[in-house]
Amino acid sequence: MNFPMHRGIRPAARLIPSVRFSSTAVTETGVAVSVVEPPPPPTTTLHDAAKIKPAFNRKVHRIHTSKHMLQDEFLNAGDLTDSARLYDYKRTGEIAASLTNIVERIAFVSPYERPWTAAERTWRRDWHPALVAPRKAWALPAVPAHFDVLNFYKYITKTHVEQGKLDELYKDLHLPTRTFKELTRASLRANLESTAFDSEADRTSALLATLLDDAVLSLVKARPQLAEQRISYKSKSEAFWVRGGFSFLYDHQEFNEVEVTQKIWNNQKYTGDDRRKLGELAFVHRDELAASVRSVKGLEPMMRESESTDVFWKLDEGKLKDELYSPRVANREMCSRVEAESHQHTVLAVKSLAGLPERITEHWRMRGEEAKETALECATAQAVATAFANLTATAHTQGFTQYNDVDAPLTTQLVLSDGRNFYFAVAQLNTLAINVELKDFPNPRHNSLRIEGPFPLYDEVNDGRFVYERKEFGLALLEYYSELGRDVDEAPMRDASSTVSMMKWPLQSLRNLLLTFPILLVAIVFWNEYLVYYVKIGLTCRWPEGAEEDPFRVFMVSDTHLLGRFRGHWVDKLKREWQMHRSYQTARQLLQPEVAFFLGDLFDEGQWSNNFLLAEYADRFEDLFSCESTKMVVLPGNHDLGFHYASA
Amino acid sequence: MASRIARLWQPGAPQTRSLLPDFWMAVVRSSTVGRARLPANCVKFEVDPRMSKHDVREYLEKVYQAPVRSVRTEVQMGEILWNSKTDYQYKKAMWKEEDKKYAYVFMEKNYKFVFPMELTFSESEEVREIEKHKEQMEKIGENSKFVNSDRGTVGRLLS
Repeated sequence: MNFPMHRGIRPAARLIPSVRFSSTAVTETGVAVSVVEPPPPPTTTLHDAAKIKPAFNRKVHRIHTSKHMLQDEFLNAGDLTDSARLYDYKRTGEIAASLTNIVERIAFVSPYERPWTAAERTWRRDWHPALVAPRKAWALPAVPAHFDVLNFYKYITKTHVEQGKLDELYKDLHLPTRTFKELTRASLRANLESTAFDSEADRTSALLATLLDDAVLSLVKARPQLAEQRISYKSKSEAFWVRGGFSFLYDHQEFNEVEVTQKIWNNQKYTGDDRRKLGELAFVHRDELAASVRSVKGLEPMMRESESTDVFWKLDEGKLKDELYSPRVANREMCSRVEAESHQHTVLAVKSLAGLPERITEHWRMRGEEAKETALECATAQAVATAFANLTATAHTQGFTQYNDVDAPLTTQLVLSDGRNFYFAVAQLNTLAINVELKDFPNPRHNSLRIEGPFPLYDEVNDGRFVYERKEFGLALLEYYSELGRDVDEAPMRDASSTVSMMKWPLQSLRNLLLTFPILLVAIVFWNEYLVYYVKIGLTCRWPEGAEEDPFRVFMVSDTHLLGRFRGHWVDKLKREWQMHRSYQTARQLLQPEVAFFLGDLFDEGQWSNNFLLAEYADRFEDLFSCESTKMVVLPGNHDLGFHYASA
Repeated sequence: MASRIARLWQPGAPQTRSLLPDFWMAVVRSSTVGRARLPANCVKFEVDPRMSKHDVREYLEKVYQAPVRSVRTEVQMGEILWNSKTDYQYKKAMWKEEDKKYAYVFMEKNYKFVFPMELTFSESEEVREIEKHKEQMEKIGENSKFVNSDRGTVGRLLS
């Protein structure tokens, strides 16, 4: 099997945080206890029921109600539990765990590509329907495309969300905010005044990247550990997961019947990975971060372990179940990919929400309070998706799959912004086995996220000055960047002067160099397209000498051939017209003629134009050559009036 | 939008004219279970096939002042009737139903939509027919009520 998407991912160093899930501590009552000890051997959190191998003819779904009393009385042991599915799950987990190579392991659980089976290859003929490509997933867009997706996102990633309460995670941090504020103010002004961006999205991404640079610059002296981490701009990650099951598991109600059933028996069969069979509940999120800080080691878990078990999730679940209407979860595969690199952990992800404000005000036409609430909800939803995609990807690159769940929580910090409003979040991935929902497989863990915001960077721009109402913003932002260094606090301190630290950031100096390039470019264009006419004509052209006093000065211009709509290419047209306009107007300004004669063939396509087009061409001609101080005498030529072919 | 032209006025005829719009929208009932079920703030309409999302939105906002937030449309192809397999092979159809366009209109978040016919539907002709049919089916099975199914120890397996 060939899995090109996983090429280049290398097995990484195992992370060794102090809090670690103990697989034996997860009991049926759903209590997980944190144990501080060296990493246990990879085991699966499976109930003993999975040890029984079910009979070969047991089905994973109960397909019918009992037809007679015997079936009720003597139930098959295999039907009493989910053992058939659990056994499958366990076997797959064992195989996955036996693969020591991470690339192979992820490829093994990957649902993305599947070779056609022998039967499909052998027996398909041209008159058969074409083999349907393997599964397609629903892609979560870069920014939420709908206004109430938060609950849906929470459900599909099994994430519990809390608003606020972030300050308690960042107690006792004293940061040098003054430098950062000055840097931020300068880069913000430069960003807002720059015309170098093609779109607002580019502008926002650039601003976020610059702010991260500023934060690092202002912190680098105080925290030399930062040098061990790496900033990555526009880093991409992708996660694929299945939450939920097959379309035939949806509820079904016959017309005018009260009973709600499922059409499991006698439903249409599709072969292989036909996307009609499975796919409506498979998701993919291809995420691009404006910038991220990456590290070899992960962060310490920030949230208490009691927060990651199902106390909160039970509260959510009732509400969230409704989002998919009939979610029956089946165990399926998950997989992901990130760009191969040594710094696998995303310590801080900076995500651009560009486009979201326009969507809220213009597309959904929301105003006032509703707009604010929606903005917060969409930002939260995006934080859930981004955190989940990035953390899942990190987990997978370390060899954790849903069959062998993460043995310790993975944590990341997020900053989300549309360029003006900032949201801060901390996310923790506690479990990957979110899509296994079996009676005998209690998995009380859920993922968690805390988010706080919005904090406006400025309230308005007034006469080039930023007007603030809130003061605490700068502090909040810096807290987050400062947290980058927290996990390596125990490492021996280095003698890192600012010069050394700067050398660790070659990207920074490269960016400064690149910033001067646009200025140089503008200067070159201005010289070649404007100034050079004055210099050339001023130096070389003058009226014949020896004339009498106050001579009558005349320009004779002919065959301007302004390009038309049909034959002219717009680039050619632009270039020629600009040159004619500049050379004529410069000469006229310097030499001051009284009359200019235009001796025909003004237009290239005058003979093909109707009145409307001719008027348009004439206007263009006026724009290029007219002037109040010089009288114009214009004669038509054969290209203007249409005798072109008649005379030939 | 009204594309129709008013009838040519004849002397003596009244001057009042009413031009009805070409566009129409009808609320459609959607399933209450399964994947076709809709959220409470979503209303499904069958609309004129020429209407765009923008038209749907404007129609509801201008005429009914509905708090529309987003609109999604779906075109459902009409069924094609084939006479024979050969006709299907050479694509010679007998008849094709008209295509239909449906609009899923998402209202503001706390909006609760109740199908307008919900109250009167129970009295409709259709429902009365179904009730009558059920009564008749019960009458057919009347005798089975009086069968004594409890036969004591007769027929029980020895243990």
